[in-house]
Amino acid sequence: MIRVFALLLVLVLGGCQSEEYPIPILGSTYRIDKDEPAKGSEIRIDVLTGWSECVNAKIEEVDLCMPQVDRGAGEVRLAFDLRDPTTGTTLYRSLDREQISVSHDTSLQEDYELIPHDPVTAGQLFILLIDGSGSMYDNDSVRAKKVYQALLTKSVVSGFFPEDNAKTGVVLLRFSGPDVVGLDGKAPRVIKSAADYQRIIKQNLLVPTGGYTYLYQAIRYSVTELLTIKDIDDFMAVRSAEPTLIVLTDGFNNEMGKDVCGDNVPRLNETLDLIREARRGVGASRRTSVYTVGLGKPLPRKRSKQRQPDRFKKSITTTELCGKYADYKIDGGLEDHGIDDVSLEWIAEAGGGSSFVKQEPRGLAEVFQKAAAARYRWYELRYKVPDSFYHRTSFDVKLRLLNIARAETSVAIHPSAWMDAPSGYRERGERWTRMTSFRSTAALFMPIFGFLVLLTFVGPAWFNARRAIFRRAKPRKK
Amino acid sequence: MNIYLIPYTLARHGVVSLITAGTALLAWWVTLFFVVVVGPVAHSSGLYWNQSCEGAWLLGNIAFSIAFMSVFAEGSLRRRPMHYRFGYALFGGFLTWLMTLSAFGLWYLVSPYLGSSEMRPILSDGSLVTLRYKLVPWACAGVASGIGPFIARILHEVIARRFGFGADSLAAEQTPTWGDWGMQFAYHAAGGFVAGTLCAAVWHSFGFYSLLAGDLYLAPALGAFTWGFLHGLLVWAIPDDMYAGWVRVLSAERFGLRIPVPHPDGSPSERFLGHFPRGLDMYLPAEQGVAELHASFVVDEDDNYAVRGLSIQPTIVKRFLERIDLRYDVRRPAPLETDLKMEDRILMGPNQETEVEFLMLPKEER
Repeated sequence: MIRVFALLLVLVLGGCQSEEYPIPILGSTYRIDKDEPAKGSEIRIDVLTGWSECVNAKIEEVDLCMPQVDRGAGEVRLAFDLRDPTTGTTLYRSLDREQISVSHDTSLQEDYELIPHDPVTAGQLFILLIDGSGSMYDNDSVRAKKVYQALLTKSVVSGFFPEDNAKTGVVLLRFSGPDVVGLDGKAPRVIKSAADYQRIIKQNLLVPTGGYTYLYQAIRYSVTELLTIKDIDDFMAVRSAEPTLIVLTDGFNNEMGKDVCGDNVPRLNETLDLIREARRGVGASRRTSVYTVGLGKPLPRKRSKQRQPDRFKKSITTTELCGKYADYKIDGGLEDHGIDDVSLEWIAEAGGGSSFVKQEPRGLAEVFQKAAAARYRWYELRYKVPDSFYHRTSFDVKLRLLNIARAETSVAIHPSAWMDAPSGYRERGERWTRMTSFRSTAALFMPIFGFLVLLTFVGPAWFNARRAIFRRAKPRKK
Repeated sequence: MNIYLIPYTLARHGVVSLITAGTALLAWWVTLFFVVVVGPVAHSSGLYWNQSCEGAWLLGNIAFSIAFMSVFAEGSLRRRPMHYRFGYALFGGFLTWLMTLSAFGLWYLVSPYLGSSEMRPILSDGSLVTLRYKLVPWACAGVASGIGPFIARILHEVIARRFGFGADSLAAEQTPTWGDWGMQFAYHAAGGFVAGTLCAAVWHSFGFYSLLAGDLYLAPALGAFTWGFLHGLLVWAIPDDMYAGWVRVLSAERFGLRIPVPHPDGSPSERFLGHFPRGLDMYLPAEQGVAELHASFVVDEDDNYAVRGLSIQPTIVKRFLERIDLRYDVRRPAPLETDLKMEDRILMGPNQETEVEFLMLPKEER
C-alpha cells in the first residue's frame, strides 16, 4: 500500500508545474508563455498575458485585455501596450494596421485587425519644420501656398489642438540657409492655441524667404538643441508632452552651389546617427518621432529593395542614396527633376515615423492629421490563421512595429493536444468569434445524458407496450 | 441498474453500453471542467500542473469511469452487497487508471525517439495534435479499461467462491473454468482495445476535419461516448445466467399462471403439462383440449430450453413466420422437441383451445 501511495505521489509531483509560466488562457485549454522582447528593441511591446498583467496595467476592459483563442476559427486575440524598455513607463502611441506586422510562427499574417483602446489626452508637442528655401516660393509661391492651405485645414487644426485636450502645443519653424527660426522670424516658442497658430501661419508662411536648403542641419537642430530651449523644455516637462517633428521640404539637402548628390551621404549618415543617438539617449517618453513630407514628385530613380531603409542598418551608402546620380549637381540639376525621397525615408525610419511624398494640399492635410492622430493606451490585436491546422502544435506569435521604432516581441502559445473548451460563435455579419461560456457545455452534455437515461427505459417500455398490443397482458376471450 | 427493468430482448445488450457511455461522457465533462474552470483558479493559488498531464487525465478519467461503471453495473444487477459493489468497482477503476497513466507516461518518454532527430522537438511538444503519435495512448487506455474490470471480476469470483465474502445473491451457479476465464479475458482485452481505438478515430476525425467540427471540443466528447458505448457492448454483456425460463398460461382458463422451468439450484430439469390432477407441474383443464400428459419443458446444464410434445393431441409451437408441429408420432421412439425462444407460444388442443408462452424472466422473479 505504501508503494502504491509513493507511486501516486511521484505521479502527482511529476505533473506539477513549478514555474509561473505558461499560464492558462481563460475560457480555453490553451496556455500562454511570457512574452520575450527581441534584443535591441527601442520600445517594448508588452503583451498582456493574463488577468494580473491587465489589472497592473490599470486596464478597465479586462475581458478584452485577456488573451483569447479559438482553435475552430483559428483565431488569436492578444492585448499589448508599449513601454519604455528601461523605465517600464507606458508609452502612448498612435498605431494603425500598417504599422505593425504579425507572424504566426514564421508565417506573416494578413488577416488581422488592430483595435485601439483608451484614447489618452497626454500632452503632445508638434514641431513643424518648414523648408524656407527659395524653391518653395518659385512660380508665385505655388508650393508654399499648398502648405498654407493644408496647415489651415480645419481637421489639421483640430488635430493639432483637440478640443478635449489642452495639453498640446505647436512649434512652427522655418529653415532658410543655415538658420532655423520661428515662422514669425523670432526665437522658437510653443504656440498653445489654435487662434495663435492660424494667425502666425496667415501672417508669415507666404512671406518669401530664400537661401540654400540646410535640411539635415535643421533636423539635427530640431531633435537636440531645440528641445533644450526653456519654453519648449518647460512645456514638455509640465504637460508630459512627447515631441513629434514634421519636416516639410520640396527638394534636396543642398548646402552649397557646387553640391552633388554624393556629398550628402556623409551628412545624411551624421544626421541619422544623431537622430538615433538622440532617441536612444533619453527616456522613450521624450524621444522625438520624426515624420518627413516631400512636397513634389520623387526623383525618378530605379528603386530596389536594397534602396529601402534597413531597420537594423546603420549607414546609407552612395549607391543607396543616389544610385547613378552620385556625381550630379543638385542646385539647378537634380532638384529640378524631383525631391530626395530616399533620404526622407531614411530620416523617418531613424526617427520612428513615416515618410510621405505629396503634391496636393489634401494629401498634405492627411499627413498632418496622421502625425497628429490620437494616441492610445493599449491595443487589441486579433488575427486569424486560414486553418485550425496551425493550432496543432505550440506556436510563437511575433509582433513587430514598422517605422515607429525598432520593437519586436514574441510570445509562445501552447494549445492542448487533447481537448478544447466550447468553440466560439459568430453573430451574423461579425468578423470575429465571441467566446462561449463554459456553461454552454451543459447544452451538449445534458441532452445527451438525458437521452441515454431515456433509452434505458425505452427497452422495458417497448416490451410492455408490445405485449399489451398483442394481447399477452390480458386474457383472450373464450 | 435493476435487472427488473431489463427484459430479455435484444435491447438488453445495449443497456450496459448506455450506462458506460453516459459515464464516459460525464468523465470528459469533469476533466474539461477541471482544466478550463479549476485550472486558472489553481494557477492563481500556486498549484498548477504541466499541460502534458491533461492528456493523461483525460484518458485516465474516462478509462476509470468506464471500468468503474462496468463492474458497478454488474454488482447492481447481481444484487451484490453495497460496500462490495463499490469496493470492487473502485478497485477495477483504480487499476485501470494506474495502467492508463503508466502507459501514457511510458509513451510520453519513448515517443520522441520514434522519429528522426529533426522530428524530436516536434514530437516532444506537448501540444502536438496527431493521431499517429496519440493512437497508442488511446489504445492502451482502452485495453486497460478492459483488463482492470477483468481483474476485479476474477478477484471477486475467487474471494466469493473460496471464502464466501461478497457473494452475489444472483451469482452464476456454475464455477467458471479456466477456459471461461480465458474467453472472458479475450472479451475484456479485445473489447477494450477496439473501444479505445475507435474512440481515437472519432477523436481524430472530429478534431481534424472542419466539416465535422474542426476542433477538440466535440471530438473528445464523442470519442468518450464511443469508447463507453463499445466497451459496454463488447466487454461485458448481461449474461443469460441472470434469467430463468418460465411457462405462462395465455388462454383465458387459468390465465397468468406461470411456473419456472429450471430447478432453484439451476440444475437441469423437465416440467410437465397436462390435465392429470396429480404430480404434474402445471395442471390445465381437459375441456380445453389438453391431454393427460400433453407436453414438457426442458432445460439442460447449459441453460438451453426446449419443449417436447408428449401427446397425440395437437401441440404447435408458434413464433414469427414459423409453426412447428410437436404432435407425438407413434412410429418414432422418442417425442419431438424444439428449442424455445423468448415469447414462443405453444398451442394445445384440436382447436388450439389452450395457449401457453415461454418467457425468460429475471431470476429474482422466483
